[in-house]
Amino acid sequence: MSLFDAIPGSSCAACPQRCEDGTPLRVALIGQPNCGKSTLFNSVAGYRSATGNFSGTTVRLTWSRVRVNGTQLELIDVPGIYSLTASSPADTAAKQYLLSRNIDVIVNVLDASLLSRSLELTLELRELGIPIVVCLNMIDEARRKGMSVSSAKLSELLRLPVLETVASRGVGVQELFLQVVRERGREPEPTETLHWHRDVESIVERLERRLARGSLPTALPPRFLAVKLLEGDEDLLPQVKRETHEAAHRLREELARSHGRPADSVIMSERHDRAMDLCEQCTAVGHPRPDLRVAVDNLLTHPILGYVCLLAVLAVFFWGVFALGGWIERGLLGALQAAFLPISARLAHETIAFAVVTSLWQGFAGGAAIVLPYLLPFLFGLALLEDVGYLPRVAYLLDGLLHRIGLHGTSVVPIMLGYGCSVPACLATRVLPSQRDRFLASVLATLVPCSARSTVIFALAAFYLGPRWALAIFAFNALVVFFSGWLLTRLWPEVSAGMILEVPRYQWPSLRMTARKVWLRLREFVVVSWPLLVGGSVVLGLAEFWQWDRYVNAGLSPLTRLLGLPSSVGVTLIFGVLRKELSMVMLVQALGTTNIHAAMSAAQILTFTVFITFYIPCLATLVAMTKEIGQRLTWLAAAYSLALATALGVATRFLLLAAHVP
Amino acid sequence: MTTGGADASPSPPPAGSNHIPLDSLPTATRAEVVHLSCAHQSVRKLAQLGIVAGAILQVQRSAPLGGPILVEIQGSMVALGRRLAHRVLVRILP
Repeated sequence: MSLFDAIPGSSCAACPQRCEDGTPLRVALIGQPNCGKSTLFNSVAGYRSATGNFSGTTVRLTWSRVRVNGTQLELIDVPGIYSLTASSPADTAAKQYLLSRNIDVIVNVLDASLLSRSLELTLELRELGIPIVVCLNMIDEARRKGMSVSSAKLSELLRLPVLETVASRGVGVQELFLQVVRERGREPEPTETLHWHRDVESIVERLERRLARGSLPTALPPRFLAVKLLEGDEDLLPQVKRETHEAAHRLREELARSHGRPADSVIMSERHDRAMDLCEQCTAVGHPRPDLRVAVDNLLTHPILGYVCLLAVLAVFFWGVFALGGWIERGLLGALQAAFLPISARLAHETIAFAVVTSLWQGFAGGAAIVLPYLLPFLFGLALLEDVGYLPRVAYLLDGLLHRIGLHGTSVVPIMLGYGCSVPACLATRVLPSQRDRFLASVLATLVPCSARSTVIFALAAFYLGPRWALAIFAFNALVVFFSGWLLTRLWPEVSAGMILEVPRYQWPSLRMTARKVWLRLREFVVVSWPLLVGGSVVLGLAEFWQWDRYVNAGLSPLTRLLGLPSSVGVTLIFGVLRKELSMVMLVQALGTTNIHAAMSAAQILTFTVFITFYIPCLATLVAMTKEIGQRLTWLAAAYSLALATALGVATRFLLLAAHVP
Repeated sequence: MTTGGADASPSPPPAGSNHIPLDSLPTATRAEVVHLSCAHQSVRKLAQLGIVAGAILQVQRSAPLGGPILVEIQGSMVALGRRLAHRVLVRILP
């Protein structure tokens, strides 16, 4: 029988309160990104807990309940953080949770092959005064690098229990959690061996004594606060009295004067030195074993071949997504239409009930058969590239290019997600450090055609005019995205100094974790976009029923005339805001024929497609965008895309006229 | 030497003739970080990845067309934008 019993139905998004039945031991898994923390979590929590956040793209915490040898544990997977100094909104959430002190035991997961850097976080966590069990994970990777780490020695130096694990194979996991149960209530003892150089230490202690003297409005230990105040952590200022702010300020200046550099830099160097020291004392370095991944990396980041590989990977990726998506779409659409026939046959046509039911069904089927077939393989492929560790290499290769449009390599994920669905793309901008970067990345990610708009491009341009025209629209779109970035950077210059990104080693993806990531992003579509799609579809159905489309078409006639389109397409444009792919479905209804080419010329079809590709992101995207960058910037983004789409639509019309395209 | 402006840190870089910006460090040459003259936020982010004054690193390779450089530090790889790398002063170790 297994030592762990996952407790059924225990998973939900971060639960702020202690649960009713008993008081389980709250165990937080904390570690730097890519340390194998989530693998550890999954190996214990099982399938049922698959919910919440992952890899910094959203900040919800994932938790699950397990029983270890009769003790109930509430396991919380905290997003990876490098240190307790926040540098993005995603970091801030993790830090806030840690400082809430609503934790009984911390499991600090370290990547043994990156021991020195990992220990810097351990040193910070130690100051929190919460029981800690150190989990020396990826011990196999360390051995491969020729590092032999003595966990006994490390435990002695840190005065904390240290257990070795290989979470990906479940090695050492049982022992780890048995130790966690034993560790309840045992706060880390102070130890002289971890103290810093005498001059820095004396300043820390002076502030610490001062903090301990005055009654603190917070439960955080004085030493932790003293160090953080000397580091200039503004988030913690409200936690201490005003007089202490001044004392901290004076001591920071003293530290800066005596070391000739800013106080935070002094503290960070101290921690770095102490961690290096610890690492040297407990590690013997031998010869690394040859690693195929080094050769692979040399190829994939090569100044020329790297780009060739990138193009090949992207080509296979997009071709795969569209081939698979198209295949599923055709099958599913047929099946759904067949399923709906008996329902529609029962209802009397030309009634309001028929209009509502039909549009409900169309909204549902549109999401299921037109968006999901592309979105699912897309998200899966992207998550696979991410989990293997290829995306940071893409960021490295494209940083120079993205820099020219005012972004840097870190924005690769939102932009790529944009080809799937704009909603997760906007949410993924959360990892970017500044509001300006988040704005620019969301604008550009929503200009990129999402799977719904790609469907329109395929169904109109490719179907009626040939695949070459569809390809031309995609290429043209990429150029416009590039130009928009360039233009917006002129208007709102870049503030961040540039990309700082860890490039982790390649890993075999775990199917379970990849599936979990896919579900988290897919959920944004299912929960946010799909209901809006269905709702929008109903509004549209009613509008048609009551024949509001005439007024809409009349109101939009200046725009349609400008674009040289039949005035009956006006209604399809306005309702494209609700559902992008519906513009095309609507077009059939609005023109009263299934052969669009019979009612519109080639030039009109192209103009229409270009306009649809660029104008205002759909309602679901606007909602997601508002959540990330605020209302004002969202309106700005919408206005920009509308102006851009109109300008490009008009340009397309007259260019084609000049080129004598009928 | 780096230019001033809002991005610059208040402290001047320490004097020394053998200090070079990280983006001009030849590949596979061990060097010690001497000074970071970038914005406060970047200094923190760099510190999180182990790039602090006194840290030892080497450049693995650099991307073409003004792209980032790939730095090896304490066994991990970090990609740094070229402009940012220019603001990290290093000293080549013998």
